[in-house]
Amino acid sequence: MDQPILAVEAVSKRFGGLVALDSVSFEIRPRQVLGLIGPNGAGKSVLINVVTGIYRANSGFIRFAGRDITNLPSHELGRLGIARSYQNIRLFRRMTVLENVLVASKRHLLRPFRSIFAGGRDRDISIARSMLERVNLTDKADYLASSLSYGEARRLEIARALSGEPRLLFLDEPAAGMNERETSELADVIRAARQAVDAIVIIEHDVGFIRDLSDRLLVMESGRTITEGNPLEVLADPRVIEAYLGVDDDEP
Amino acid sequence: MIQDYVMFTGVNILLAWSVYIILMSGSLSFANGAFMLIGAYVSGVLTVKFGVPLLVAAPLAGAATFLFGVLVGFPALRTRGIYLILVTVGIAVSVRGVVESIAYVGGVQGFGGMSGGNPWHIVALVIAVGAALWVVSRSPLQRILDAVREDELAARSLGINVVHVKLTCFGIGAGLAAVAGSFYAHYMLHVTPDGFGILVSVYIVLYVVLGGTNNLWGSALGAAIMTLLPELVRGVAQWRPTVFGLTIIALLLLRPDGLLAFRIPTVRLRGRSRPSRHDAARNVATPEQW
Amino acid sequence: MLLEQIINGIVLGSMYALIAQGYTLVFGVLDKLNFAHSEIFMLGGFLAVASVALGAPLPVAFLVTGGISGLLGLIVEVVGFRKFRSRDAHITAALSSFAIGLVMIDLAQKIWGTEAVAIALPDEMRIASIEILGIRIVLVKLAILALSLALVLVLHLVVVRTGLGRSIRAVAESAADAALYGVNVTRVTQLVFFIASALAGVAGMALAIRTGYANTETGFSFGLKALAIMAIGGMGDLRGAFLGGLLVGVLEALAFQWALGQLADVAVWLFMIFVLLVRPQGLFGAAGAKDTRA
Repeated sequence: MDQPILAVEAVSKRFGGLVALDSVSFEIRPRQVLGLIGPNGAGKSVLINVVTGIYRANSGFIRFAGRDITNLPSHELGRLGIARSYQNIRLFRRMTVLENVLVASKRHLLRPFRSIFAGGRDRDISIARSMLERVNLTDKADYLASSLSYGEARRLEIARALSGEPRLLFLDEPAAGMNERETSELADVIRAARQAVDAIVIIEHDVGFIRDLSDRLLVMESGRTITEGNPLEVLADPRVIEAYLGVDDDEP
Repeated sequence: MIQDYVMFTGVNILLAWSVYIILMSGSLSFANGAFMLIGAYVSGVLTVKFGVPLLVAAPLAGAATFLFGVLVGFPALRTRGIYLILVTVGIAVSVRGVVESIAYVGGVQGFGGMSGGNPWHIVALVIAVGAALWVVSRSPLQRILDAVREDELAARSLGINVVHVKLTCFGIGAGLAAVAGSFYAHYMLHVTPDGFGILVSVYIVLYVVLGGTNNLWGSALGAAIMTLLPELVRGVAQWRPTVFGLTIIALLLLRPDGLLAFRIPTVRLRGRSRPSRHDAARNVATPEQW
Repeated sequence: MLLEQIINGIVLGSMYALIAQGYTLVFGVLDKLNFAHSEIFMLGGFLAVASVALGAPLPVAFLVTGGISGLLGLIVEVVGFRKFRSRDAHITAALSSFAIGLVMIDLAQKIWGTEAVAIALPDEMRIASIEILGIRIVLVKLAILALSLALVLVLHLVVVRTGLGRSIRAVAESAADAALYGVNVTRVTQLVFFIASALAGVAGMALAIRTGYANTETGFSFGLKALAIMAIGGMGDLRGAFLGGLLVGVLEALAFQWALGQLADVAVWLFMIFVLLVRPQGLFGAAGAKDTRA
């Protein structure tokens, strides 16, 4: 089956007079990791926010595995299998690490009030535990999420997103503010995540990080897509280099 | 006299829990005095004018107020924080004003002729509601509520229907306040709209603030302390508002989470191990994060 | 008579406007609601009763009432708002101010009792009236109206024309930025509380003179309504508070004229809810100013 998992068609978004997205189109195929890059203000986060239902598109369509999801509310998108992490990590800081992972369990959040009667607590815990093992956080399971280090918090956020068994995962600048060791641990987590989902989209500034993880790169500037393709080709493209000139210091 | 203590303490505990239930989904409601009022009057009309037995009228009043809460909550819960406080104050004042102008239920003079309320009803309710809250606190629902309360955006991304959760909690809180109000009214035999003014709603919220907003025990404790302290300590009775007010002021300056500030995790991986420094024993949240 | 009621409404409205502007000043500068404000208004009535009883002539009584109310405002600021300065502690401060309000009501009741207390003004003063355009207007009402409008004008001039006013506007815009420009944010906040509370106290005295009594209910019956008025006019918008006050005053007076008085209260609050949902910047506020969903 070769249908794209996500198809964005001529999506535009305006904020008052400002055009944040100008007829953006692209596709993501199954088993792909797509890196979304571009200078600050290019519209990368806006695009993710539109696809995940936080902003409404002014025009255009978005299809998820063939189904029209344009302007559906974000909780419905979450239920359909689109998950994400946020640039400024949004964990539930007052819950424990284990609880953050447990809360994503779809079985309960579809019918929150009936979950009081749902059994299977031990099974839930063991599934959550294995998720924590995959991101190397089992030792901190009963710790408050607020006590985690930055790198651990990011891994937990991704683990939580994965616990909902999504088909499509968006990561918004996951490596922001991380040191080398944390970045490398994060890359491992993302590589492992590839097995669990149909496709991943990563927004990132650190071009070196994203070049190694992605199958394809999509470059945006000023609300438009400039080019798309194989990472090495894209990064050698003069238009891309010009877009980044003087803006990005993160290139290794 | 001891009947009175049990009755009023119990009613206040239920009212505090009614605010707590709404707070669990992240909203602070100053309208619960009004929900209590609606419950009192609806049940009163049912028993006095239609001969319905109290034990049927009270749940009916609760159900009706649940629906009212959901209806009113639908627009109201679009606002948050301070604005929601304003809106719920508005609801409280409006409900009282409307009831005062309805001649059928006695207008400003109030409504009387009720009877049959006794403390045992309240004791049973407190036990039942407390047990229910305890069961919830160890269930997946508690985690979902905490997620909504802490970060609606992240909760939505996970697939939680935040509006549904908030509306349901609002309705349940309203219904609980109404049931408490029903039994209260049938104990007091006669009630006036005056007795359910905005001050009552403020007091109820302050019970919860005093006792602690992160677990079910806090609200009960706050309500119990503020109801019983005036009875047990001479002098406090005449100065109840001042004592209460000063306590709250001091509390908010020193220990804003309330007396019982902890949140108990719903599950632990390692069983009942000794809490370590990083463990879930200490939870700090300012009222903004309630 | 319709015109007479409208004038009554304007007098009432000018009083609402004073209180509402007090709420607005604090909200503008701190982004927080001061729920003790309505009780300072209530205490203003009692301060008036006390000053008059001690023999003070009216102008002196106004100054005393305003001054002491202002001082009470300073206490409220220190106790209920100073510690919660961080932009986020809105609800904490609101709750604290509710608690302070409770204490104020209780103290007032302990000192003056729970019944209304009459203000000892000679009857001739309260009844004296003049005729303008064929309408009999009680002089006292006219004086109150004049005083209220004068205060609103003075406040406007202070905010718009003086250095203090500039500082207030700077802090209202952004306390952090204002601090960078050398504004003493604490001092400005204190002054704002003083001014707002003084206005509330004077309004309370005006009500006491108008009705002849002070009582401990007025905080909840009148004062809180001014909060709804501020929201209707535009949260944090002084002009909105003024116009909103007048509008509501007149509508309320007309409602009484048509025997709908009881529901006037309800109408004001329901309208406030409607405005907050549909036009959060208020009737007279600038678009995009506030987000009630924040």
